[in-house]
Amino acid sequence: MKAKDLHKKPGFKVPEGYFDSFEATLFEKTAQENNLPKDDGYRIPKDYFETFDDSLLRKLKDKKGGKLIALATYKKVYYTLAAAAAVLLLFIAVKNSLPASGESLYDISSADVEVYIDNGYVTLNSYDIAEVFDDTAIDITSMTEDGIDDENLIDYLHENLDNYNDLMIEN
Amino acid sequence: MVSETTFIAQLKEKQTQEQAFGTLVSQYKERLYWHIRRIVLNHDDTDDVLQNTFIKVYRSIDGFKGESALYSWMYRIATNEALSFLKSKARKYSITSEELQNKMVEDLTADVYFEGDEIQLKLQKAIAKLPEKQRLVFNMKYFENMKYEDISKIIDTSVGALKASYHHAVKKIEQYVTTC
Repeated sequence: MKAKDLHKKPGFKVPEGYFDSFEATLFEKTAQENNLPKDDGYRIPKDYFETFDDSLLRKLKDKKGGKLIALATYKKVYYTLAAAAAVLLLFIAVKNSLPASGESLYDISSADVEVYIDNGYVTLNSYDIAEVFDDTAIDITSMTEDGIDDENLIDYLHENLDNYNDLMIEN
Repeated sequence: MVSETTFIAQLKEKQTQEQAFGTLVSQYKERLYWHIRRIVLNHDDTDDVLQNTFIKVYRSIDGFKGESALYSWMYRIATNEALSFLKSKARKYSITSEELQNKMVEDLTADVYFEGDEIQLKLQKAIAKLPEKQRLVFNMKYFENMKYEDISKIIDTSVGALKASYHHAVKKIEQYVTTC
C-alpha cells in the first residue's frame, strides 16, 4: 500500500456525527477560552412572568376593538375621482337616453336624476367607468402633494396586518 | 402531552383556542422574552414587543400551515417584531441603526434592570457593534444555546453561513473585549 493511500485502510472509524458537530464544538471552545461571561447581566422586574399573561389578555381585548390609523389623503382623492367618473358616466348615459328635443341636461332637476337611478335605469359597472379614462397609467403619488409618509405606512401595517404569514419568507 | 399537530388544531379551533393559547403563552413567554430582550435590550421595550408578538401569533394562527415547527414560526415573528421596533425607534429619533445600538448600550449603565459588571457591559458593547445578522446569530448560539438547524429556520440562513457568521462574531467580540 502506498503512503498516500494509508488513510483508506479499513478499520478506522469516527463517532457518529463527529464531523457534523466538530465546528460547533470548536467555536464554542473558542468563545469559552476568551473568558466571555455566560450571564448577559439582564434582569427582570419581580413577578414579571407571573403577571404577564393577565397583561397580555387585557391588551388582546383592547386590540379586538381595533384602531384605524389614517393613511395619507391619497385614498380620499382616489375615491373622489372615482365618484366623479361615475357621475360623469351617469350624465352621458342619461343624455344619450333622452330624446333629441332640444332639452339640455341642465334642464333636468337633480331629483329627476335620482329617481332615474333609483328605478334602475342606469346600469353602470366598473368596465363602463374604466372606459371613460384613457389607458395612461395613473401615478397614485401624484394625486397628493406629500405622497404617503413612510412612517404612517409602516405604522399602518404594523397595527393592522392580521395575517403575518403574508409578509414572511418560508425557509 | 399532546402532539404539536393536535396542539395547532386546538389553537385554530374556536372552542379550544383560548385555553390552547394560554398554554402557548405559558410555554414560550420566557424563551421569547429573553430572545427579544437581547435584541432591544430594554425591559419595557421587550415587554411591548413580546405582547405584540403574541398578539400577532393569535391573529395569524389560522394561516399557519405547519410547514415549520410552531416554535420556529413564533421565534421568526418575535425576531421580526423586535427588529421592526428598532427600525421604528431609529426613525423616531432620526438616527441610524448603528447610532441607536450604541445609544441603547450606553443607556444600560443607568438601567435598573441591568446588573452586569464591567466585562458584561463590555461584552454588550461588543455585541452592539456587530452587523445585525451576526448579532442575532451570536445571541441565539451563545446565550440561548440554540442548534444551528433551528437558527437556520428562524433567520432563513444556511447552517454553513451561520457557523461562519458565529465564528466571525466571536473573533470580533474577542478583539473588542481584549483591546478596548
